[in-house]
Amino acid sequence: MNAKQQFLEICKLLGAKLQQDVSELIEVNGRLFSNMKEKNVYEGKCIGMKGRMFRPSILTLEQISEKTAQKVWLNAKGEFLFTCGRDAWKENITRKTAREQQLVIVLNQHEEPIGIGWYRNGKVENEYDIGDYLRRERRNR
Amino acid sequence: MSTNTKNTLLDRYKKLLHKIEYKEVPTVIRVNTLATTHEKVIERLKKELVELTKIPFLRNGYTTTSKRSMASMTPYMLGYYYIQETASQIPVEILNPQPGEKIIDMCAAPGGKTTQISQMMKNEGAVHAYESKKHRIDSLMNNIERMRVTNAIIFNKDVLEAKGEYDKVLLDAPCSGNLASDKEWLSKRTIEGIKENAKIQEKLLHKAINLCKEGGIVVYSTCSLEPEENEEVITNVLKLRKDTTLEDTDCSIGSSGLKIFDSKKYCENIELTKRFWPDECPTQGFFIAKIRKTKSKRKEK
Repeated sequence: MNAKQQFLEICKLLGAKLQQDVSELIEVNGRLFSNMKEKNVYEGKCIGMKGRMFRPSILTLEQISEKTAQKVWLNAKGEFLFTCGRDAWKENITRKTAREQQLVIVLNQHEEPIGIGWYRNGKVENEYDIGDYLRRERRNR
Repeated sequence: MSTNTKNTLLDRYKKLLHKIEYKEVPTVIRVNTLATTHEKVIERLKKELVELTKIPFLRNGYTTTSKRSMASMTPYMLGYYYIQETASQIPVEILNPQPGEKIIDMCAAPGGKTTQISQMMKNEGAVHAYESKKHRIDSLMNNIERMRVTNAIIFNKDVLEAKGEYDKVLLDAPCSGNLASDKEWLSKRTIEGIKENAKIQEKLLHKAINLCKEGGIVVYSTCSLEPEENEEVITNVLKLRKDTTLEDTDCSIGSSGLKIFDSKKYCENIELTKRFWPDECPTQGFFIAKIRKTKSKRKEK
């Protein structure tokens, strides 16, 4: 799957209909952009990156979050675990609007989306989290 | 050998009536108005037990009180702010980007100033970010993405190959740095190394002026205190050009650029440039010059 297909996949799994013309999206080195006129390493709005599953940019994560009903909210402890790339436990969940086995947007107590996960067995399995902004740089150093 | 250089550098500062030593500068953030508002960030960080104090001469700069690292909090990951030292926020304030302009950031990584330019442009217009070093491109891309910038283009190539004409040009030149980042800094520097940097800086400054449109602005900055990399670069470049003039930076802190050093007299109006001496400013060491391009030369050479 390329980045565009991965992007469409998570939107579908989250039941989120974004107002985004997919035909104009351009992928460069696994990064997906809109408003790219020439092929540069980075230009315009970054939609996200290809990964095991799509890794949305913070802008995209917020947009999806507004358009989906599948959400789980975590307490501070859960937020910390989740943004460290870990799963969140049953006792970390303060509220949910999702069914078992659904892909969900994960939010903290400030209504801020912090990632994407699978709601399974009462837990949230980490699929992507914004702590990646810190880990990416360490990985690439 | 290194002790000699260390003493040479310290003696030079002394001659200029400054005592330079390592100092801790507070963590300073720049609130990202592309993501949120000042009020919301102040409120949000209160919940993380961080108090913000506005820096009066910066549009979006705040000093912080925090025992935790400001770079590990959720609001950081959300792009609500960028960690950017006081002095290094000033060049873009002086450049004063406007929505709709076309601006080039000649030495962009890791992107503090690029994202600041986009913020002041409200993501309207274009900022071209050049960075030749491949290993520095990742941090540049990540910061631009995290800070929600949507009007930037990154060019992974030597900025000396850049073409086109820009309304404004930022040259935050690679330099020998200062004591703020490294306690051992003095013993790692040599006068020869400083002069090598100056050669590159001169080449870059010529290019910066060539890339600027008539009537446009070039801001030159370094985080070096050495006259060779600052007043001397400006003097050597501007005396060869008839299409430039130094302008007042309209910056309320810092002191004037040096008029003379080691019996070398610098160019006319050099006192309009700004020096941030760490022993008298609440910042690291820094130098900034604002250059107006007056008329374009038809031909190079």
